Amino acid sequence: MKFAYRIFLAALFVAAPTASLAQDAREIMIKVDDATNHSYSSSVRLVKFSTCRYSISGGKLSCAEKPRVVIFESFSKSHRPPGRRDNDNKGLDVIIQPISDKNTAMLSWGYAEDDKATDFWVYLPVLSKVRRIVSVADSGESGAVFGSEVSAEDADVKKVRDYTYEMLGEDTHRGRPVWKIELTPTASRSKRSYYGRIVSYVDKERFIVLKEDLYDRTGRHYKQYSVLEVEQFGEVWMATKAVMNNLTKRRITHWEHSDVVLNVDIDDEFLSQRSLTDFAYRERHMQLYRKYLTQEKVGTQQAAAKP
Amino acid sequence: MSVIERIVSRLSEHFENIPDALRKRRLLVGIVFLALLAGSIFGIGKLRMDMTIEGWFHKEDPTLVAFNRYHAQFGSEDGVYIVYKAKDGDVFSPASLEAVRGIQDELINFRARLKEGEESALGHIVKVDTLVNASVLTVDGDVLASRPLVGDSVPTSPEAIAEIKAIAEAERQLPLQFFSRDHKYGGIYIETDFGAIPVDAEEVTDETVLSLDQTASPGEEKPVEFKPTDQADYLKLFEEIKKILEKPEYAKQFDFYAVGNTAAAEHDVKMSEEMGMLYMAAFAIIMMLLWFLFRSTSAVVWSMLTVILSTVFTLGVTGWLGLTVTGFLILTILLILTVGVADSVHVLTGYTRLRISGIDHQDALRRTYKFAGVALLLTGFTNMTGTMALNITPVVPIQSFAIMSTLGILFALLLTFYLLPLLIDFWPTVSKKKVIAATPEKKRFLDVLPRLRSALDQVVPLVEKRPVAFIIPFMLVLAVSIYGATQVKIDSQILDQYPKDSTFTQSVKVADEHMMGAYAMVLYLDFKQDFALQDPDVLKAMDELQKKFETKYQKYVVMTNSIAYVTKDANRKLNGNAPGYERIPDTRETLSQTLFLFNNANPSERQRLVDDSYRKANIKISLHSYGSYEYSEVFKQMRADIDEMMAKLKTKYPNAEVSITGIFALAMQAAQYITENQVITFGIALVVVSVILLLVFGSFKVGMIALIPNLIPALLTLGVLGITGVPLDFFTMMLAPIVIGISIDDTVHFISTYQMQLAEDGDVNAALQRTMAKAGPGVVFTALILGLGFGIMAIASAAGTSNMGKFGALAILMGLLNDLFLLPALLLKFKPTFKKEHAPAHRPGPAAGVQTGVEEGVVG
Repeated sequence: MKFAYRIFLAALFVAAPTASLAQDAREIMIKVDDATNHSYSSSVRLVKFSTCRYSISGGKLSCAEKPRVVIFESFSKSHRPPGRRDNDNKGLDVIIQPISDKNTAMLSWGYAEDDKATDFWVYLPVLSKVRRIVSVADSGESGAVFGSEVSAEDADVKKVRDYTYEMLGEDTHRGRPVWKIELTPTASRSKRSYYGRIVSYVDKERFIVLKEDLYDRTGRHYKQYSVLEVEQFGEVWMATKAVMNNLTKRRITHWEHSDVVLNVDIDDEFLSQRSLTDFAYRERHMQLYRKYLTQEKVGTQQAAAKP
Repeated sequence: MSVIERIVSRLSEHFENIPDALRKRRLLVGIVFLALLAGSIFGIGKLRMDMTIEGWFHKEDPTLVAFNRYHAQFGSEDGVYIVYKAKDGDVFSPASLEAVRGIQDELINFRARLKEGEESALGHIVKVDTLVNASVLTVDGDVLASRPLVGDSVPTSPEAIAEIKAIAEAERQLPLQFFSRDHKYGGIYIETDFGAIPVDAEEVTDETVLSLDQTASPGEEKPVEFKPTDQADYLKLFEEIKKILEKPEYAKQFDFYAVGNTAAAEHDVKMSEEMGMLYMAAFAIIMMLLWFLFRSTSAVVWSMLTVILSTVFTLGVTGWLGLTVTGFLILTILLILTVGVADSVHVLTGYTRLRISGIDHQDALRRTYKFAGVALLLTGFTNMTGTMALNITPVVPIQSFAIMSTLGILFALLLTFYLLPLLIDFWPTVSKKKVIAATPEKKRFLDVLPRLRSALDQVVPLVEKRPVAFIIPFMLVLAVSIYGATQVKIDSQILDQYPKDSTFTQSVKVADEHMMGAYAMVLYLDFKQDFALQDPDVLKAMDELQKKFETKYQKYVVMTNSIAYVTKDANRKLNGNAPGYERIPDTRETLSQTLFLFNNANPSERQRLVDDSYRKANIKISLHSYGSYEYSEVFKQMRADIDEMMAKLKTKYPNAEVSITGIFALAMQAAQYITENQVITFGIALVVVSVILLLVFGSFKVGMIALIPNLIPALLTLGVLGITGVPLDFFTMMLAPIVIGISIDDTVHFISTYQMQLAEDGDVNAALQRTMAKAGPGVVFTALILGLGFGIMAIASAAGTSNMGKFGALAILMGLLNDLFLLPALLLKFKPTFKKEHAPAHRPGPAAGVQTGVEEGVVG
């Protein structure tokens, strides 16, 4: 009995650091979730996506063709339902460039409830139809956001409970100390995810993700997300320039938030299907919200920092 | 003394002095050759093998540039297509679908079976398309999605299976790609990264600098170059694929027929092994012939050493020059073997006969080189001309074959001149101390020489009775050959590289008869304007072109696919599946949004069909297997159809370009290049050889008499091919110039001997009789050596190589008959006079070096 007790104690001793590390990893990711998804309630942004095939020569990655540029305005709003960890969030992205796609809009609704996948819709004015964008559950591959290398799944909020976490160690990324944490989707998340494993590099100080290695379900290193520039908006640290590199297709999307304003008042109805179909209504509201961006540019001090 | 005579005289002097000069510096010569050997072995390490069809073209060749641009934009088309035959007779049966799903999962999820840090050749797989995961565009409520036909779980109920069958049958792109019309055969397409890995494919690291602002301006895209795929890569991948297919659960359900370069690789290796065996057989046969000829081990050893060293030096220099070695390497090695042995035989025969006639070792060596040197140089030069003429073809493997073969002939010559004397000095064919008085030769086992001599003695008396009776049949052969040559058609069958009964040939046939075929070509369209492919006029034009191809070229085209067809499919499905909507939307806006939805449903497939900027697209055309002759005509017509389509779009898109590309189109282009150049190649060889003959013999008449016996064997090959309807292919097209080079060898020796003999007493008949006695056996032996060297390839199991062997041997045999019968007949009939017929015997004429050598027994 005494022997068994000793073994039990020894087992506890061995297991404790592992459990603690796992706990640490999860706790860190909760802080990341707080910093990323709960530090502001709404935003208006001007976003630019440049996508191209690339080549790397002499350690320099450059476009092998003229990049395809998409500029869109992005409006989002979130709130945490009582008793829930996650937010309900709604977003509307409206293309302003290229001209051929101008006014194509994408609406997204994310849900706080467990296992409820985010819905994405687009409105195609000529076809006069609102269409849902495919998810991984639909066709095994998540739809691309405006033809870029950023998929709808990449753009979606990662819920803490959808993954299990393992601390892989500590490292530095572009000069900043980071934790390397492996995220494995839970069984239910797995059905809705293109990825089998994600390795996140989390900024130890700011609790934001600076890099992600995304592995597909077959274990292939499929994409790499890297933050190039981080800015502080009030208390909020936010990546304003980043790249999504599809390592298999050797295509890259560089995205930047050239203008950002947080915590502004956005009408709930604006983030509904009415905005997709009622052009006049949408344009009226957008003009209003665009003013926030202009005011922010003039009035707010922003502290820029490299990641 | 004319310039030529002076040169010949100087050269003879130089060759005469070689043995003594080398003997004095034997250590230095030894060191130089050893250093060369070491350098060559090092150079061999640098050899680059390239067996791919891309390797047939120069980097800047427009066909290859288009091919690379297509790969850069749309990925590799060098995949593996595995056709399977369901043993239960239905690829839609639950057991068949389950087995396919298993194969698909094992191919895709191989990483799960690997240990930490372990790599697998399956890593080359980019995508696996099967009947189970085949994409079907589906409208489901408010979403247009691309769904797998079967999905993760295979249904077992007959109703569910019937529904799957119905969906599959209704899709335009699934039949023939994934199942045969009778449902007995299925197809798995494995997309690889072969041929689409950029040469400078650096990995992304933390140090990688992003400079995305420095972008290429439109229309000036960076040229792309891709790594040639190594044979070993194909083999490793196919090995891994086979491991999966051979598992009992799959093997009991299906018979497999794999096509594509990956599947062909193991057959290529078998072919290379067979060629290796044939080479060894040729080597053994030649060694045996040498033994019968010389009855001396040293003669056999030195001849073979000369050949081996020539081969090593050639490969070494090829490595240093950075030339790419291709599938024609074995032919180069065989050519070096035959030519190298012929060179050694000339020297060794001369030396041996001089020794036997009582001349001491050093003097025999001096005389041998004095008299054989010029002949060797001359025949070596004509041989090199024959091979170099092939260099004008802009097809890389033929060019490297030309350069390597020329190098091989050169090295064989140099080694015969500058190493063989020392080797003979070290271990002569007849002991140095032995003093031999001319005695009648002893009768030896299987001694063919006396019988051959007595047979040859009867030739001239036979010919001199009625020379015209001999000339006429040969002229008829020449006439028929010329006629046949005009009838010859160029037709390279990719399958001719493999035996008819090989599993690969069978697989191609199965894919061709039951499924979408083993080959495909691609139209690569670049409209040079963003969003051109969102213009309904463009997509309609593409659609029309595809329809035209599918109807007009029904015999060749199995199916086509492009963004136009996908758009029609999406449009129909977005409009309640009404057949009336199976068309390109009429307005730019509707089309743009239909494409937007398709991109949303299946971004990977969209990227495979059209680029992000909607400037570039491709039309994939699956083809039945026919030879280049038919396809060159079909391609011409297709090109005209494409031009017609583009003409309609010219005003809107003046800079638009369309290229026909893909592996199959590259092979056809190569055949086209060969067609365009083969007459020129042959012509160059002919002209240069004629000029050499005229210069050497100093008489137009003699030059012509020397030329005709060589023209016949060269043209005979083409003639027989033309008359029998056997097409000229990559292999046989190389014969004509090589045959000219080889067959001239014996003619030069024969006429030179005759010139010398004629100078003795001016009696044409007696001179010919003596010429036949002295030069005849040598002519027969070298023809035997060269003929058997080539002829051994006739037993190769692949049609291409076998034809080269058959026709090569036939040409050399014909050359021998010409030298033995036609040449004497022509000399008797036309009685040509040589420039210096009256000259004293020790310096009779320009080809003195050759003839006196023969007189003293250098040849035969």
